[in-house]
Amino acid sequence: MSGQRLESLDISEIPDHEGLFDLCNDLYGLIPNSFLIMGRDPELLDVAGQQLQSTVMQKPGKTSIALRWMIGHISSRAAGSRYGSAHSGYFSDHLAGVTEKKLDAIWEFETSPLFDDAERAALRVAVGGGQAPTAVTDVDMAELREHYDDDAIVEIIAVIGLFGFFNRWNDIFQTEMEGPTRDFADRKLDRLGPPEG
Amino acid sequence: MEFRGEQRVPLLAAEDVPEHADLFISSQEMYGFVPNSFLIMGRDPELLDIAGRQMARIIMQKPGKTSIELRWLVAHLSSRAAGCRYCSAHSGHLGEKLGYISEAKLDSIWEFESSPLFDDGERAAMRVGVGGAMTPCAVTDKDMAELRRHFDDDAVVELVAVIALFGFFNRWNDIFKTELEAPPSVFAGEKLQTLGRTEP
Repeated sequence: MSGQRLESLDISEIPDHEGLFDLCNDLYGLIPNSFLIMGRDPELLDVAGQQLQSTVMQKPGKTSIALRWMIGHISSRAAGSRYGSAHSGYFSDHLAGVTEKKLDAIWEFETSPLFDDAERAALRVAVGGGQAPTAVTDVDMAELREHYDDDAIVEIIAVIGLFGFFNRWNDIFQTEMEGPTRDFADRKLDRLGPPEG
Repeated sequence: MEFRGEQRVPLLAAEDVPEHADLFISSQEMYGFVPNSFLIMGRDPELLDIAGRQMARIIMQKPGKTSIELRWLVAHLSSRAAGCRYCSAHSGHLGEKLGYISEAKLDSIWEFESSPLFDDGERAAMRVGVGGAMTPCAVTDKDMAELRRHFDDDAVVELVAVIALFGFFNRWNDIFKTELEAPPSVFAGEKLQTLGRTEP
């Protein structure tokens, strides 16, 4: 057996969610297969799929949407989650305008001039936070606090937490990617972790 | 606001989050304490509502195809596999206190593959709980096939939702190094010298 480990429902089998699926098509240009698995519990789909995503990734706050998508992307890569990396990578550009050049350099965040020190601090915590056990040091957190107040820190950790939920969900189910996200993965995700050496 | 020990952001006071007064009161009544993880999350009251209230209720309390006991066993074991002390202590202490998990099962949790305290369905679920907590994810096709032998699709969704919920909370509490409150801290001192599997 290979491929997705639980069948996606058809959207017709998930009644009363036209609003969510229209939103997915408008915003994302696709309906995530992760949602079509989750639709077996429509309440969970509402809360985790719609409300949690929208609060953490869309609601205006102290951190930029672009930063949040990059945090989701690098923590998914650190966790070894292909689906999570592909989604966040594709949406970093498609939704938040992160340039291809910047995303291609994501594992060089510590040194590349494309990133500033505040972004470095956040991405460093995202890398550590995407691992089990987590590898975020007191120094990492102190550096984060140099650049972000407590509300912004909560936003950042919430992104890492959100992807903690979805990385496990999608990795256990081996959720199949959709057209644009599979295309992103094929072009950009030969490896998830940092380059060797 | 105060820093506590190693905890990496200061806690809010319950009074700082009036829209969640009832959540804090019911936590105090049910658990004997207000979770520090909530007093950090209260900086975003909407997030606290979604993750702290609704997802916790849907995934850990709402009646479904899987027992509450099994969901708590899976939550506890996957938190231990992930190395999250706060979540391991909470799920272990509260699981026992609220009568969801027996002490005997808790004490044998890492022997689930062989102990007669667990049946094959529980074994299949807990095996996925362990693999699902690792990075990269270590759940094999065989693990999932075994899970599906014992649980229908709705039940599988319930179990993976538990593992995923604790994916959120394990990261939240580990990164913040959320300070354990007194009762789960006592539990941790007695029962959680090691989180992971110890080799014989």
